Amino acid sequence: MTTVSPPSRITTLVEKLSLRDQVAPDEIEALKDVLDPPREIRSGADIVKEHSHPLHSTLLISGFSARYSSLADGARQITELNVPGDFIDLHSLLMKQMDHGVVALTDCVVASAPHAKLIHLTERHPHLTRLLWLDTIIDAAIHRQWLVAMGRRSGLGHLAHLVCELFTRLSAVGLNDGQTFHMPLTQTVLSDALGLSTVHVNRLIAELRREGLVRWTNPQIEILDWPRLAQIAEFDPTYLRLHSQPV
Amino acid sequence: MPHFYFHTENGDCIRDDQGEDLPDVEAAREEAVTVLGEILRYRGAAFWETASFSVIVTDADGRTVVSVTARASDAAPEGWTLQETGE
Repeated sequence: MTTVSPPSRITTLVEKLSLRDQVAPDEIEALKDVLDPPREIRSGADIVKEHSHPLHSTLLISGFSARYSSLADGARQITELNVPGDFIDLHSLLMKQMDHGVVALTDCVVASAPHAKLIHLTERHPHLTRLLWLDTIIDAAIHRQWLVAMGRRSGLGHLAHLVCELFTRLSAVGLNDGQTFHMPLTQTVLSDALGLSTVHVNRLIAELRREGLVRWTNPQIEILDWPRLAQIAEFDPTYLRLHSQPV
Repeated sequence: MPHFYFHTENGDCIRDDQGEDLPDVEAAREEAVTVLGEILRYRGAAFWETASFSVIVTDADGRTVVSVTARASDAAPEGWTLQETGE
């Protein structure tokens, strides 16, 4: 079992940004200053509603959330999963109206960053602004990879890619325990994220298990054979931009 | 809403232990075909290993409600002949 001590408000965010470029002490202070006190969101509740006009962006401190769009028949497509350290709607600062919603997939702790304070931050900290800009660019890169997977990968390759992505993103912020990570997502959530039926997802999980690629004991996933899993997924982590290079 | 389970069988039976709530048997029929089509989309050449794939729908009591099967064969379906096209 992984025991994760209660994270401070910005630990995971700073950890993630630091992988991409150095974050100066005054920039860390600026991030702290921009955030309101943490608040809890219950599993299943919307963190940001579709079509709303948020006046703040939200940082995910702990838990999992998902960006989604709803269809008229009640179906839902998840377009990105968020892990701790993600600014889940940083783009609402400029987009103003939400074109999608963000729902808590587990109990979450979040902190709001009022848009007025974020605007102030961008005026005083151009380098930090570029780092946050990069974070929204990576969101778009994740969407592109999901689009490729949705349109062109096999079902097994698609699920394998999602597992590789989550393991890589969680490991980047130290939320892995060796080759094991915590992913408390139901088959319904996976099915909405992959755009596949729950029955199919069920079969694909069984296939990953049978091939000896993962030990999947919800909510834990242990990667047993990373090279083969990454090969099936054709996983290339370039899009997550986890190398350090000045921005 | 009634609860239906969608088991899949191609020599290797994957039980559906979660199932889903659907309004009626008609919706279960629709879902069974959707699931079969979705899985077959990715089977490709592997489909010929067992040459058959079924989705079996059971209700909350474990009774079979409907099933749908896709089959591959080197022969045409029984009784099938190529019709002349013509006016």
